[in-house]
Amino acid sequence: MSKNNKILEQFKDGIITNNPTFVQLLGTCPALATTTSASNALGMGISVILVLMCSNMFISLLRKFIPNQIRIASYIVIISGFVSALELLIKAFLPSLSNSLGLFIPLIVVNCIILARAEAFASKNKVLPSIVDGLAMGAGFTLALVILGAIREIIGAGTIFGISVFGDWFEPAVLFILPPGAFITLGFVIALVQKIRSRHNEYVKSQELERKRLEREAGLWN
Amino acid sequence: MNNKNIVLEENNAENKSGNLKYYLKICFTLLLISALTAGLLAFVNSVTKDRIAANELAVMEEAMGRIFVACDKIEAIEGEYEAPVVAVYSVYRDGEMMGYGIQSTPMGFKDSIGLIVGADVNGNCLGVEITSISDTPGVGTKVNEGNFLFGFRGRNGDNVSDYDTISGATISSKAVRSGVEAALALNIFVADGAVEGEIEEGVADESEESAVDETAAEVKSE
Repeated sequence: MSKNNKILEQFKDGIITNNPTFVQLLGTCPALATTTSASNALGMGISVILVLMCSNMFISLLRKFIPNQIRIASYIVIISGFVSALELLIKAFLPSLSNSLGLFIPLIVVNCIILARAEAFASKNKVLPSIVDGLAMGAGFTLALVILGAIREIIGAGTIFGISVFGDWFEPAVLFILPPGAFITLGFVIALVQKIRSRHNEYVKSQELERKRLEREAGLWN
Repeated sequence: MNNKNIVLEENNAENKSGNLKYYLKICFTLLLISALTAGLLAFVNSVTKDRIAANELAVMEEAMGRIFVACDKIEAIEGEYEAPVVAVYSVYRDGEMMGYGIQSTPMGFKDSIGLIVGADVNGNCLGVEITSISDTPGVGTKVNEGNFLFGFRGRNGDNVSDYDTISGATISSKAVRSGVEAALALNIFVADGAVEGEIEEGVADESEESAVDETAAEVKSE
């Protein structure tokens, strides 16, 4: 039971409380560059999930074997190995995705989410929690990318996953497909997420105060 | 004094052998990890190599088929070509040579653009197809929409540089034009033209004029 709770906690951490894109602000380069459409964003997100799970697993397996001084070098070799393998696989089996993502697949190597999770989590934890962490953080990243991609695609092209949303009257604002649109969208979404977070924190705090007040009053009555 | 020195030397010697062991351990760990990664990559490469080549060939053949209708044989011409021209193929139908398909990869806005330029033996452009483009969707990709590519038909090495670029997609359309220019400037045509061209030029031009000029006129009127 507690194991399940732990896994749930990890997922909550990766997707909401510590979302790599909206809260930790890691891996902003792919989050800005590949979110020109929802399907590109999804493809990028899934690629990152796969690399993150594999690299977390291997780094966790090797965590006692790798000397401390060369851990970063080892992590980079392992990560770039998986990324190159993934690139070849995508080229072979999903050529259209490889066409639209192009350079950004090999650039996953330098995506700081992956190195950050290797350093902060996989190198200190057992194999299973590390795989779950990779999945959770990757899911958070994917969710963030799909949100950004969907907003940009709807406003910038009038479609979502390639399906037209509005009729012919809609004049797409191409700005949102361009790099400035990426920054604008990311900014607004982060603002929204922070607003919700702070409201939630206030709510938690007020609940706490209320509880304390009630306890005090109960104490007075006694 | 002497004793002290000896002790110090011994200490140093011990440290040195300790360091050496340590360095060897580091080197071998890194070597092992790199070797494992290389093994993984070699395996993935051997699995995907043929499929990737087949995918690329399929894309190329599809583009050739759109330019040279009902062509049934595409043969690579061996040779070294200057960038952006990558490869030259001769295209046949029923054993008769239809012309050359030239693979050209000019540098676009983000990455190189993959082009197939079709030309007859005299160097008149029969059609241009884009096989890969990673420029900004909705902006740079305008070169692949409308009749921009269509307008190259009938042009040759002398007048292709006059072709207008698309406003709003200047860099991408200039790149495509430079790719076509390089393809049509190849000396394969000059050789053909110099030997037989002087006699055949008039005949060949007349027979093609009807087909080619009509399309060019259509584009201009539009």
